[in-house]
Amino acid sequence: MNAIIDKAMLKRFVEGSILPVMLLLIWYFLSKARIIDALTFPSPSDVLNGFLKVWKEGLLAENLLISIIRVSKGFLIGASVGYVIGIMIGMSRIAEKMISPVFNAVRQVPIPAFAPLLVLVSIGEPSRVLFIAIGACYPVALNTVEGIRSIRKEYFEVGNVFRFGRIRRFLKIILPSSFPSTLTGLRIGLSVSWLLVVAAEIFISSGGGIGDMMWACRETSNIDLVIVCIVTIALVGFTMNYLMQKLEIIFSKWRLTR
Amino acid sequence: MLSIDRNKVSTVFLGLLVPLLLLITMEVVGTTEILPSQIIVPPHRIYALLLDMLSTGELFGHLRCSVVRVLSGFAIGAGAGFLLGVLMALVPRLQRALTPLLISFNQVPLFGWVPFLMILFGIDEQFKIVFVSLAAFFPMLLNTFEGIHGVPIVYLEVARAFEFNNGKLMRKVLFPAALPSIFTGIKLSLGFSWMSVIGAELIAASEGVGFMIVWGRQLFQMDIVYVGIITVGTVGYVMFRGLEVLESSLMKWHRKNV
Repeated sequence: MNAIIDKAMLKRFVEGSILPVMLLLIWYFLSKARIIDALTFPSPSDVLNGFLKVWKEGLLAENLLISIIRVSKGFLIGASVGYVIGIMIGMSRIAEKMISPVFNAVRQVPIPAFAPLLVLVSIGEPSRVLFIAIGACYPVALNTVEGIRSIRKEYFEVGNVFRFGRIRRFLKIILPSSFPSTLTGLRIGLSVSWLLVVAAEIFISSGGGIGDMMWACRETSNIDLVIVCIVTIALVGFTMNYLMQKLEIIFSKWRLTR
Repeated sequence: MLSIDRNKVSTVFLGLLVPLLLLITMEVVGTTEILPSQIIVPPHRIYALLLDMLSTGELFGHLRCSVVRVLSGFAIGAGAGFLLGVLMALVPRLQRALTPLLISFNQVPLFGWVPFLMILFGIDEQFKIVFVSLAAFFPMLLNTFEGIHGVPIVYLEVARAFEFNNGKLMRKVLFPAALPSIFTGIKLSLGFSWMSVIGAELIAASEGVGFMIVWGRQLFQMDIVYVGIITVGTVGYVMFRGLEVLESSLMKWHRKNV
């Protein structure tokens, strides 16, 4: 049985890698035969050498660290604010009526449009962090509200029988039942934050970070390093998303065993 | 009857409360120069500028430029995404060959492509169209694929029992069943396109709403920035609502015709 699964997986793997490998080979031979000029577009080995160079110099790790710290700050601020907004809208009808219209109106604005405004309100690092926070806030708020809305009525009725107050109703019913949905919001919020940190570093440049590094490499036409940056950004984004998904699975299992 | 009316009144009143307070605060802070009125512009000046830019046609000129960009990029990207999504759902071999490649490309956050695309396509119209197409491509591809791939096998068996040919199968079974998912794709695609065109115009443009916002910031005329943000949000909302109306009428029409 296992052998069959392994065979099927192997077949899938081979089928899936044909195209990427072919593209790499074509790229390699086109550069080797000088059909692609090395000055206008680097060869795969140029990219590899570029990677080794910035890795040894520590440039890549240094900028990556700046971006990760920046994204953590923005995400933490945005997610916390989003969670509070979500809980308020979900728990109180008055708050819902007061906040929802403003929240929905502001949500219509594509986030890049806020960048020039933020630059004037606060200079440099706070404006980048705030930019990320705005983006991280929406998915967390929306998913939290959705999570609260989908809690079964019986739970609240049981809570009423036990005469739960607001705080106990939140701690015993709302928080645990809506958290899986919030966690989905956190995952989406984190990937939006990672998208926006790159955007923030391009829009509000010269503060370091992987996006800033990529932008500087564009200005000096170092395409090999631009490609290194793109791959790094993609890998980090993938890892973040993967870890958050694992967290969701662990949490849902933990809930089932309780 | 009276209680419903009262409920409605409270909804409207509470909904207007926060925006009104915000406007009044901005007006007071701006006119009394507690904070410099260049940063917190009194709303009456924003409103006056909005009317002025509408009457001179300046706003409309920028808007038309952005909308043309968004529609051409969206048409290319979403069109390609739709076609590839359909093909991948119908041809399993193609799906297995392309999936890993497409997934890895999709890991790159949208703005991570900007420097690379700017090197390849320059900073003019071509770069913006390619960038917007890229933004529109993946959401459309994923949702089209999932919509058609997720059509229940029972439907296909019924179609086979009636000996539908491929064209009829597509028109009568696959496409209608996938329509909700396809519409989700269109809405997401258009949203990403709108965000990306504003982003691209912030970085490099001499016309368009995104450019207008940056230009206002460079002149330190924040009222232009506010007008730009309001415009971008409103137009995004109108496009989204338009699609929702189209979707519901299409669904109704479809139900009538089955």
